[in-house]
Amino acid sequence: MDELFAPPRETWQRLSPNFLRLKRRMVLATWGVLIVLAVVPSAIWAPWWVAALAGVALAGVMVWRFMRIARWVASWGYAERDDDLYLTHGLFWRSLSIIPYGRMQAVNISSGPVERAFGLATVQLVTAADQSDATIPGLSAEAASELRDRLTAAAEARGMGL
Amino acid sequence: MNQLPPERLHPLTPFVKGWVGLLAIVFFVGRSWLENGGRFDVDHVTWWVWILLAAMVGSVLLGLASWRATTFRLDDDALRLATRFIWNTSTVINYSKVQSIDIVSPLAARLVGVCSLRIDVGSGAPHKLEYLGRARAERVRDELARRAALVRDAGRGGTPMAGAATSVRTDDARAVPQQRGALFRSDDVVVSVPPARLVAAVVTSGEFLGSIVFALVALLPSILTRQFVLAGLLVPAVWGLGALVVNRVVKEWDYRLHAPARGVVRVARGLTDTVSQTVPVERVQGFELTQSWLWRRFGWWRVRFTVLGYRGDDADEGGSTVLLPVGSWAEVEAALSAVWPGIDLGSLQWQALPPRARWLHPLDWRQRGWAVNPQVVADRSGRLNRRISLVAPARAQSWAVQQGPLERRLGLSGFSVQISGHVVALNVTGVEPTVARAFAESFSGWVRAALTSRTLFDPASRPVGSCADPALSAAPQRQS
Repeated sequence: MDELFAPPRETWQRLSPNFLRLKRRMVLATWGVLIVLAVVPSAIWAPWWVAALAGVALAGVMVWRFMRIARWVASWGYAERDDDLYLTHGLFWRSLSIIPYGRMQAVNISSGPVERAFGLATVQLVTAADQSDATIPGLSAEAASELRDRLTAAAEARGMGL
Repeated sequence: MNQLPPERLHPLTPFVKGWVGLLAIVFFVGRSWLENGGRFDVDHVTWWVWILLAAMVGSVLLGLASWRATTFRLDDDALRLATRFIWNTSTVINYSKVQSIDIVSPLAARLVGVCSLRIDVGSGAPHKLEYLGRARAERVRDELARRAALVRDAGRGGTPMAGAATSVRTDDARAVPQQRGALFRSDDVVVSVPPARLVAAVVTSGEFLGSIVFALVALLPSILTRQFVLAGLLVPAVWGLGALVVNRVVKEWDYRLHAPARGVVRVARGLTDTVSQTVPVERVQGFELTQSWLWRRFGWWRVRFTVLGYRGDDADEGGSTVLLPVGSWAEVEAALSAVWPGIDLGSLQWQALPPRARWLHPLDWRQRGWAVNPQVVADRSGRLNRRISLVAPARAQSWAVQQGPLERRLGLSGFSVQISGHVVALNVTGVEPTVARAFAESFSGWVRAALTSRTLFDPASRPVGSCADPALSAAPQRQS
């Protein structure tokens, strides 16, 4: 099945390693909050074993997601070819999208507060179709802005309107 | 630039806009006149009728003043609309921005003989010229379309025709050139749908029958429990039925498809409100052909299309997404050829899904199929209600190969093509992975060729056979 999502040339360009760190900490933070929210009220109002069960179950899910997030981040890849951009991602729902440069209406870079703390940014390619799945998260800020410059130059050179 | 004096809209405009109030006045005054045995007795008219009358007279006067202050003019480079009444507004519509021009005639306007012009500039709401006499509106539309085409051709490096844009007044029929010459073919009708067929098709369509079933189901509790108050559940079902009938029959009555000029098709339809809708073919993204199970015995299909800029089914204002409300297969092919000349549905080689895709599509595995060639990509599905989607590489925004967990278990995958709009979508699931990847790679080449050649369908450039990639030319499916 790997030939289906193989890169067009040698290898995929991967995301920044900081992204894995960011995602791991987000998993710990989110699930930690959930565990506290589940365990504390049930320890107060329910028998102790309910709280323990909830805590163990949620902790198990957290560990599973923690280990899986590395594979999920590693599944992201992009490749810039002559006329189009290849983008792949996903573990359960794997996909490989191809967007021609001539169809890119705009290239947006956005960076939330957490991403900024890790020096990362998200690049979004805007086409005329809403369903185009063309977002690359977790690139370093310099790589993101260089990618945007390359893509905008390529899109202008090949721009064919709508 | 010769400055001709600007033109006015039709003088009956304020009366058409306020027809409801006028009708109310006529009703009440007439009633009190009749009640008094044919004499008009001022004392017997109640006080609120006076207030209504005063309000209506006031608004008619305002409308008249606004009519006097509204002008428009077709200049060298743009259409200029100006209103100098309380608020001064001035709108300049460059000919290069004009995408399409529709003529809409609501019921009240039709009774008087006027109609309104909707000018679509591609972004934002369309501009309206309300109201103009019918013949004058057609002159304005044709002249505007002619100038827009001239500007577009000049912008692409073509040579502008003789008699290029100078200011002209459209209320003089002699000043506007008649539509002759290389730019306009004869205004023939490509397809027309007789009203009887439309009604029969609506009554046998899947949506109508579904609403009837829903109404019967809604009636069931009140029958079983013998409580008639539960028949109130019928109200939404009847409402849905009524809305369907109004939408289909009233809006698509006397449907005619014209091909008046290169690059444009025109749709004329409507029972109470007539609409003449112009669609530039460059903005058509894809087609969807549907056939409900009762229509199969008549061989009827319904064609919808995605037009860039039409938000959903805006059928009231002329932005309908229906190309052909109901037609035979030959009429479908004629309608599609009017929009995409050179498309040949008969040359599509349909490929079947492998047998293990039955787990993915248990109900309609046998009916599913796909066909690709450098001009068009097609996908069909549906057992009871059949559906065929058509997308051209020249209009594709992006395409993708995808694989869900069930497909991975079966060793299959899927491919999809994204176009703008939400009416048509092409998503094929359950094909061999090699086929999907080969499609993605070949599609890149077809999109590049289509974008650089800038023609959508050129029969001369169609390659012999379907496509060069052997992975995509598996054994063709039997015609089912």
